[in-house]
Amino acid sequence: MTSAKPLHVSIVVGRSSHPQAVIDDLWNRALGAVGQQAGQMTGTAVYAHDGAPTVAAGDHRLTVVPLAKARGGRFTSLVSAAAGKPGPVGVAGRLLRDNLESRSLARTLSGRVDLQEKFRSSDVIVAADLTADRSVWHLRNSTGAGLVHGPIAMLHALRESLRK
Amino acid sequence: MANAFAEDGWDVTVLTVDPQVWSQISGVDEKLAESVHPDIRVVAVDDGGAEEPAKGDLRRYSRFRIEAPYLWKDALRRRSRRNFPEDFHGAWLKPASEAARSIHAEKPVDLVMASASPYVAFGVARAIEGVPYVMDYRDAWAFNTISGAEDFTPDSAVGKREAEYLNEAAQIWFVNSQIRDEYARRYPESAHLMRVVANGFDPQPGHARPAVQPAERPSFGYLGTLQYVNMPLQEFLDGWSAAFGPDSPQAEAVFRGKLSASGAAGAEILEIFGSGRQNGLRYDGPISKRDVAGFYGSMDALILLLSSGKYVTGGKTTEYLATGLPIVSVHDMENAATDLLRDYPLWFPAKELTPEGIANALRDCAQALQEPDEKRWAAAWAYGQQFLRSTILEPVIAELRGIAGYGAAKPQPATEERSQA
Repeated sequence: MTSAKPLHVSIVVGRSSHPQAVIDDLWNRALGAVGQQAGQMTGTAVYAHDGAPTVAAGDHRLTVVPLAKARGGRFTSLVSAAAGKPGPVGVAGRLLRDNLESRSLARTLSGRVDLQEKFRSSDVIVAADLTADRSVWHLRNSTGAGLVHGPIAMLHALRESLRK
Repeated sequence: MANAFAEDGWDVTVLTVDPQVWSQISGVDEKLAESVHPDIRVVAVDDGGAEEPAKGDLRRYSRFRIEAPYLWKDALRRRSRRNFPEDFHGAWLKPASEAARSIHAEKPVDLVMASASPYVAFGVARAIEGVPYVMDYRDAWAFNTISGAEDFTPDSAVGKREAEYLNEAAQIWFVNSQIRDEYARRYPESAHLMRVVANGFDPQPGHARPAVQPAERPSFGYLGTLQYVNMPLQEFLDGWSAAFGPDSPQAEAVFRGKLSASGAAGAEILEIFGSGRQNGLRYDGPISKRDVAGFYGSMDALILLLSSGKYVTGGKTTEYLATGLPIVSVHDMENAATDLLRDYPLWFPAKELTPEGIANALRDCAQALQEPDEKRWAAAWAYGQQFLRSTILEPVIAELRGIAGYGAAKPQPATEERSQA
């Protein structure tokens, strides 16, 4: 890890019961992986919420952006109910629920020009959960950044960025 | 284990997945990798797609995987089992077997050690025809060592395959007698080949007898992969609060290691450690295996949290014992680990996995730490050193010399033409 290049990591959190804990964990792991260059690293964390924003940045180098979830209609409620059921109905429900949530988040993010710009200038963009994967995957043709799912892949991508 | 063979003069080749793959799916302990014996040759092989579900490179994701991740995974699971009956890992059979045959063609192999899991390693071991192999089970293939639930019966297709592998093995190793006995019951025709080769500890730099000094506000350490889904973690947290108070605790607990086998962790466990700071609990992240002695040296006592199940020994149990530190056990007393701990002079077991039972064990330990008995500490240290891995492996490696056709005498490494893959 010899590069002196300042890194920017973006974090996208979709559905999470504890977004603060997830963002803190990813950011702290990223700092740990970058090591002595951590002072130069900056980050942007985006998370979806359906109430009041609750996440605070624990580090001045990290910017946290809350995104209000789009209100679901009756169909969304039915899908959520099905997702909690056992058996094939539950499997289908979870599949559909995750698919709808990931589409909704991707739509919201694609409408945010400021965030799209931030993503394009990132070195690594990490999707924290399944419902964030689509939003990050959509960026594959618009940036050369490492696009990854989860903390372990993020650490690998950061190490690779430092080797470049 | 490879180091132990190399120390004994064997020419060792290790066949494993490419380090780039390890880096993507779990990370690489660089310091530990540097401690591999310099004479060991490591042959890295492509994973054949076996680790694709664990890799988080979104650029490699297909639209199908993005649209329907569960269906994608199930399709891959089914495809991977065509070559070998193990989800996903079956895909490693072909590239690893080809590599094994190539190693053998280059320099004939005398013995194959196949360590699971994944169990596809047993299939790879058989790729070199006519070479004796040892099946080193760390867990069990046929049943779940935590729940005890059977994954396949001996008369199923997979069971028959396992029976054939066992029948033709040179030796079959298990980490405790509980797993061995269950395997002997399932496959009696191979029972004579089965033996217990217990887990041992590898002394890391700084491994030393702990200083005996009173601790008014003791530090309790946990080191290892936190398999929190199966562990009595919530009971422990409640017991901790009951023992030391919720606001200004009279002790601290430091957790180090991965929060799951892969290193990723659920939001719930992250939240527990995030909110536990006021409770004297904290999580300080993973640590290199080479640095564990420094961590143990900074602790007054250790917490042994294990999954429940009579087949569970826990990979860290002997390492804990070797520290000579007091151990508070928070696990089912029916666990196989209890066999190792029962006679340890500084053992503080939670007799019941209730908050009060755990709190009592923690309090008992804290009390012993206030006025430590030097003789008891010395006895604990002496007890733990018997689990040195090299001591455990020495007699079995000597036996394997015979199986490989070289008698029991230690060969001269420079002239020997043997190898162990």
